[in-house]
Amino acid sequence: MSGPVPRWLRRHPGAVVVGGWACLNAVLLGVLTAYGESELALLLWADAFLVLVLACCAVLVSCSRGPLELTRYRVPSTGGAVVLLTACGLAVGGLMFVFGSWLAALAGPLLLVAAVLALRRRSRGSV
Amino acid sequence: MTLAPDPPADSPPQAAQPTGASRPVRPASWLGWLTTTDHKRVGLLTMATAMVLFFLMGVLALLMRSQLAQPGQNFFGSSMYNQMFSIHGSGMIYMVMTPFAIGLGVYLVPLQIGAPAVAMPRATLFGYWLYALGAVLMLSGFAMPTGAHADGWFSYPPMASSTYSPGDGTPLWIVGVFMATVGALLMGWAVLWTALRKRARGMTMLRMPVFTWSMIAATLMVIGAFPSLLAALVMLAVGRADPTVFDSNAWNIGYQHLFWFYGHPVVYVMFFPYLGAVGEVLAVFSRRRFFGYKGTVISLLVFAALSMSVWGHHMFATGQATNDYYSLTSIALLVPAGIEYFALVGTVLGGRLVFRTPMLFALAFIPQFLIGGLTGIMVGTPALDYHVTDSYFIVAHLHYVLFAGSAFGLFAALYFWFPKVTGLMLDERLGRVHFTLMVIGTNLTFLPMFGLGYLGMPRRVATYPEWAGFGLLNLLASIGAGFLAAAMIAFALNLQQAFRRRVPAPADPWQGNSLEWAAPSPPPRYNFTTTHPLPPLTSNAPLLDARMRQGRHRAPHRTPNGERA
Amino acid sequence: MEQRRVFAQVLTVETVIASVVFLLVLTALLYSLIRRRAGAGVGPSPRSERPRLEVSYLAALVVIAAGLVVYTASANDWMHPGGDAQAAGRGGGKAAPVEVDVTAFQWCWKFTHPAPGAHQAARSGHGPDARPAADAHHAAEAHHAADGGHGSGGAHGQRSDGARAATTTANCRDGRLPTLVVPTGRTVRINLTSLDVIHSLWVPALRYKMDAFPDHTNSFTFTVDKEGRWIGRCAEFCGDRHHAMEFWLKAVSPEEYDDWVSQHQQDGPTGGAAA
Repeated sequence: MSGPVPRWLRRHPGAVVVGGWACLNAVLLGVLTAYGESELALLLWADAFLVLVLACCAVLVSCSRGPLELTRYRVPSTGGAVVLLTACGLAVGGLMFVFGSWLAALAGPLLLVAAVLALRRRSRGSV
Repeated sequence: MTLAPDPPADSPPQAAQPTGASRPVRPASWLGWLTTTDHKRVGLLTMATAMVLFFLMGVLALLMRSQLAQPGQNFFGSSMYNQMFSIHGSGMIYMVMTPFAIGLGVYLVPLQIGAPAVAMPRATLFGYWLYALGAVLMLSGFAMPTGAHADGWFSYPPMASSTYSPGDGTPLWIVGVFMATVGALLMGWAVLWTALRKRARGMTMLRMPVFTWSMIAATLMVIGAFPSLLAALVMLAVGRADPTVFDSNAWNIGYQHLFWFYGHPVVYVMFFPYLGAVGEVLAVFSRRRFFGYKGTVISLLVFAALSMSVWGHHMFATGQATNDYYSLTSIALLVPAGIEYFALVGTVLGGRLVFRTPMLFALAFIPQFLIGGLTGIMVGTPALDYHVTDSYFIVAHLHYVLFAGSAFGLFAALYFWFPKVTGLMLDERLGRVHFTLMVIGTNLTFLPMFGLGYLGMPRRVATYPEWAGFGLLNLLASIGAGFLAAAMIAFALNLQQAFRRRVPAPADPWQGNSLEWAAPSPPPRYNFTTTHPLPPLTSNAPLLDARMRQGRHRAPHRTPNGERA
Repeated sequence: MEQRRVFAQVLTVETVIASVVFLLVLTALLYSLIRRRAGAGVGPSPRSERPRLEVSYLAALVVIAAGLVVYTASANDWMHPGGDAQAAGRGGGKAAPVEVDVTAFQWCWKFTHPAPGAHQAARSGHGPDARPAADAHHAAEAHHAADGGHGSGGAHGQRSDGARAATTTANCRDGRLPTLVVPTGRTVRINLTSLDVIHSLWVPALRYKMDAFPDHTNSFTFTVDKEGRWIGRCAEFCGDRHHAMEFWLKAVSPEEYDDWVSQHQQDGPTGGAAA
């Protein structure tokens, strides 16, 4: 919010953001506990916290492996058909919950075809 | 080209140098569209699907308003009415506002940070398909003999259990919403990863436009909160298989906790991207850079963090939540929200305003969303919420947030980026007609609802008796809904005219600030080309900087700090 | 009607604050629409931030938020004056609160007024958690009333915990609404539960509602100052007849209330409550 960006902030903006966010959450969690909320609510929060920490870790690992800003990009331009087939297969699979497991006879082949396509793509792509 | 199995392309800095790759992809076959890995096409598919559903859900709302226009009417029967409000709410939240926001991010974030593609394009496409198929499944409930899901968008058990909601509508709803949510998670993660890890060289975090930052905050909430909805849906599915689960209060109240842990952050997922869009529009049509950029960025992040701890304010009347705590955190939200408003108003206050259609929507967003926000403080106050919760006051409040606010942001974004996305201009006059009807319709529809809630009209009632005294205000609201229908017709007409007349749009029709306006309209496959390269990344408004450098003699002001982020 | 008074006060305060904020923003907007429009011949401001102003604004916001937090928390306290004993002492003078067991079901209500003394015995015996089990026989009865369409506000006594209780229920069809009868000037404690799905008891005139859960009892107290009759509604969506799930709240003088209770304790199923 202040005019010039302090050096520590400029150097490690990610760490500052993550640290600040964690501190804020710790304070809120403390207050929540002080108000005596049920374990369920605390657990919920802990879970979300864990998920976000995992996401942070993924970003940090990725940052340590590569440059902060990119000059080279890998841009895949294929694979869409597999995705469409998989999504349809999963949708039919989800319908099993509504209409019964006989739909597996439909969902199975769809997913199988998708898997075969994906494997063929991969083997051809690697050549 | 999209179907050809080519090896991953390693592109040099300005991404699209290879001449072959930089050609705009022809809108080839329909299969090419459906299996595309181009982030712009995935984004467009998402937004187009959401837009179609927007119209459908709007039709449901009109039907409901026609029934409520007069007391004692029950054209559809309460069972059908219950299906309509459930699918209207579920559709608008799960299938329209959330996916559109994320789709906008899928389209714009790579462009705004100078990347040629989204991270994980296939996962993004997969997310789109899960969303689209999920929407179809949810809607297919109407084709079932027992009808569609009829327990509202939050579907509390035991009402939603197989004992009290038999039939196929509810399981279809569960599967559909589950798929759409997984889809949103995938797309959200891709957008977040793109913004964090795919930025062009020179595009530091604090040079990202406000819209991209709003997407970061929104996708953080997607990752933190959406899994909780998945858990709630699994719980509902388990409970439908074995209804005795919901004999126990612990599971019923547990479902509410799980649901609202998702249910509140999602409101901000449906709000931040539109707020970001409004910020961009205000800055561009004020002919300046966004005011209070850093404060806004910080407040967005604080907002996102706080949003995870306010869920209990939806449960004040359950008698089973620590109301004072959730009231505290909810009221604390006014601090980051106040900072954001300061920035929006500050941008306009120091601007040189140009009133094009996107600007009109963005300007109307400010006071209208403010009504939603201020009444939000009221419903965050337990002493007031006991009376107004689950009443039409809440209906009015949430529509001021999501319709008078977010949907106006959506239309600001749509009018703003339509030329970029399609290469065609929309008609200004029809845009103004659309805008005027929208403002009248929105306020005429939703303002009376505050009164209805105060007077004691519960939400989700199929009809009401004459002696209750709700007739006049309901009639006003229904007339307002008519204005909204007319507004949407004007909008549809505008789209149709644009595609018929095909007035070509230049790369930068509005004098934009951010990078997407440096790319051609519509942007080619890898976004930036040798003829439209990335400009020097000097701040969060690089194009504004470039214009100022070129036309310094014309600009009456110096640019202190201007070049730095 | 403590809730109503607190509600009115808090609503006034927050509406005033909200109006001031809204008018400030609107004024700023209108000012810029007129004075900062391109036609007015002004250039855009080159300043992209005003750190000092922003920090002082932030401080002001924090102060306002803190004030509101304290205010709303106290308002919540005023609505729920202290613990049980304190509530009784404050609202009803010396007397213990009048207890009414409310059972919500698809799609109507049942109000049970236990005979004085019976409740305390039941309470000290099992504690409040025992209530759902004790309500098991109410369930069958309520459904019976709903299915059979017992007519307008049928009220009848029943044996409960060794003493007769006065009960009113109806089926909420064709204008047959049950009546919750309470005495004026005395604290009324509602013990609220549900037989099937979640409902919510809302008396708009009281400015208060509370959800009714199955397998759980929620309690709250209120006091009615004057005699009269007000509509009560179900506020939580509960199925096809949610819109019709209404009841009357009727406040009568304490003497009349005692008469009413004793009459319905003796009369059994024949008595009829005023609807």
